[in-house]
Amino acid sequence: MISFQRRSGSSLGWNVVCYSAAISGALLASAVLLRLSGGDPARAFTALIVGAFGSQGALLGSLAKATPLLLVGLGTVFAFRAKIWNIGQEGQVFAGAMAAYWVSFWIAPLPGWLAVCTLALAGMAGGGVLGLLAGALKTRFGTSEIISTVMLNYVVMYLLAYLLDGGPWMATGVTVSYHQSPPIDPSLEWPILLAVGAGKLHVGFLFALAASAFAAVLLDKTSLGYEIRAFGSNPTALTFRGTNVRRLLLTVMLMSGALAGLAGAGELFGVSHRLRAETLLGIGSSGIVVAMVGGLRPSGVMIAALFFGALESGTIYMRLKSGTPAGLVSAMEGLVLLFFLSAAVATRLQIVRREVHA
Amino acid sequence: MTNTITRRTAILGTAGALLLSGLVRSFADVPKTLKLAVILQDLPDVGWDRTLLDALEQLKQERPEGLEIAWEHTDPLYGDDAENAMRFYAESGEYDIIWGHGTYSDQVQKLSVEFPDLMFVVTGSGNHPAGPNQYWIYKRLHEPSYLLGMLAGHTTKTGMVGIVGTFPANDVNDQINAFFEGAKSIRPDIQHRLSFIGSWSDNALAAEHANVQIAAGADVVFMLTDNFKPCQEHKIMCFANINDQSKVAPDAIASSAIISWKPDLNWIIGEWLKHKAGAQFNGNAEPKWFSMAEGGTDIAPYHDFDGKIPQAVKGEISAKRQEILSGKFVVPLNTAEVK
Repeated sequence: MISFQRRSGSSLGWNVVCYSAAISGALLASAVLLRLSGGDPARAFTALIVGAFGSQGALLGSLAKATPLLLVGLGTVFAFRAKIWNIGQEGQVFAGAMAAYWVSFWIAPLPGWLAVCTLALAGMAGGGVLGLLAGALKTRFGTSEIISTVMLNYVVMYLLAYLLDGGPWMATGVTVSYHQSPPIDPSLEWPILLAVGAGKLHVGFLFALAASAFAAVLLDKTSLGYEIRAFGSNPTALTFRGTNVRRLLLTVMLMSGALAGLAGAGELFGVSHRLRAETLLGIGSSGIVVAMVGGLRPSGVMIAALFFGALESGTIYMRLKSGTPAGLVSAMEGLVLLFFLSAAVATRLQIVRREVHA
Repeated sequence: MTNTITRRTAILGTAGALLLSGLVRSFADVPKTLKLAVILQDLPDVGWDRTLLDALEQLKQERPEGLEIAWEHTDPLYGDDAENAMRFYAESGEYDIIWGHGTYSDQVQKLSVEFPDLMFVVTGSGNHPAGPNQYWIYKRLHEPSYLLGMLAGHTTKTGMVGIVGTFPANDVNDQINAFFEGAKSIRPDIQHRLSFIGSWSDNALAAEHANVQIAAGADVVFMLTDNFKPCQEHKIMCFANINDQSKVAPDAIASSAIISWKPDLNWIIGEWLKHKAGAQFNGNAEPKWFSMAEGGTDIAPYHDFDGKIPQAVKGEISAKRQEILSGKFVVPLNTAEVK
């Protein structure tokens, strides 16, 4: 008789088998969806790969799309490893962009690199404060962070809607379009590291790489990282160890929000150059998916962010080239998540053959 | 006998050859096909987009200037995704016009210098000048809105009409002001209820606002959004805008203020042909719109309400429409926000 049993350690070979099966399964299920909607899976996948990796420009485009996902994903890793369910990344991305935008009014005379750092810090402060607020609600009043972070998403989004729809940040001109600010001061646009055709990689990518290294070192090599992991597995034991768990929770929420906020600032000053809700929507939720698919490990998150960045970048080409509807692209992303989460469960199990005695 | 070429023959011959070669070249240069890449901001069944695709379909049949018209359109794209799509179309070299059907000047600005021989078109509010090869089209629905206001003024029993708007934008306020003006021209004591839902597409919120207005006494409502359930439930007359939406709620929608993109497309095609004939692009810095007399807008037929609206009222509206078309009556263009 064959049965499943929890695995005591992890096996590299089994992990490879599980995740390969997940990728194949996700691709197969996506192909079925494409076929059912009248598309040609081979043509669509070819377009997807060409759009994501087919040229230097495409590759840069994929890296640019991966940048905010990596930052949000890393922020999510801090929170989820501590089993603190911060799901307010959407709002924290918005808050980061909004804080950096507000600060940008005051820093035009600063030299380039100083302005970039100031805006990055402002973005981190915006997202971090929002995270901290949800953390404070939990430590002070015991409010579930799941509820408070989701509710704060709405608060921030409606605040932005107010500011841009007739409020002080609305663009003015011959005609106005609601929902967007005027363009940012061109001197404050984040420097482009590499640009080939449509592919432009801004300096925020370096921040994301630095954040990845920081997260990996912090989680594995520092006492704070140990406390974060321990908080996730046994907070009571951590209390007996003498750790101030309230302060730890606030620190985690601050870091988690700050990284999401940095992603928002990068998108505003590196990509869109105009504050507009549509360009920020979905980054937070995709970042959570990236963290989950990446197994809540910084290295895994990097790979997952590159994968999803390529998917997002390549799907534009796929939509244009093969006429795949946008809704199907979201469904494909969802399928990847489902298969990867299933694979993550499977890696923790092993197949055991038991002899049945009559 | 010797063949001698006189000076006159030489001149005539050279001139003839030049003329002929020019003629041949100009015939060869007259474009036979026009291919557009259309970037949409919403789904193709949303009125703003549907009306453009319908107009393209009509022009394809009509073949203006003998052109064979073809197009590709995207699903909703904005920001850098829209820019990437525009670049994809531009680099393919297969398209003559890239038509961003919404607020896309930011994206055009990044591409127009790089592709100076490509024509870009943007539509609606929120755009800005972006070089000589960007053309900017606008829609003004104040004229048909005035006529709908007259019908509302005749129909209301409570003396209160309502409008559920999206945002107090420049090209929304013009419709609202004209609608109220039209209603006041019939009943100077008319009262109004007005609310903005703060979204272009939140139909559930639109229904809530409509219900509030109806509860407050409005018995004719101009819905600038796409939900007519409250009108059906309360059995009141409503109006739609952008396209003829009678089929959505035939028992509630008496008429619609509708747009047509045909004059805009014809203008753009004309400008593109001028460029192909050698002229420089001359994109407009101020938005260009076509009036009702030019075919840019109109009111939709009354459909199921045809028998319910008194003949005298229909006659009065028809007469006013004729006055607008002939230029005898000018509907004031007022873009101030109505409080």
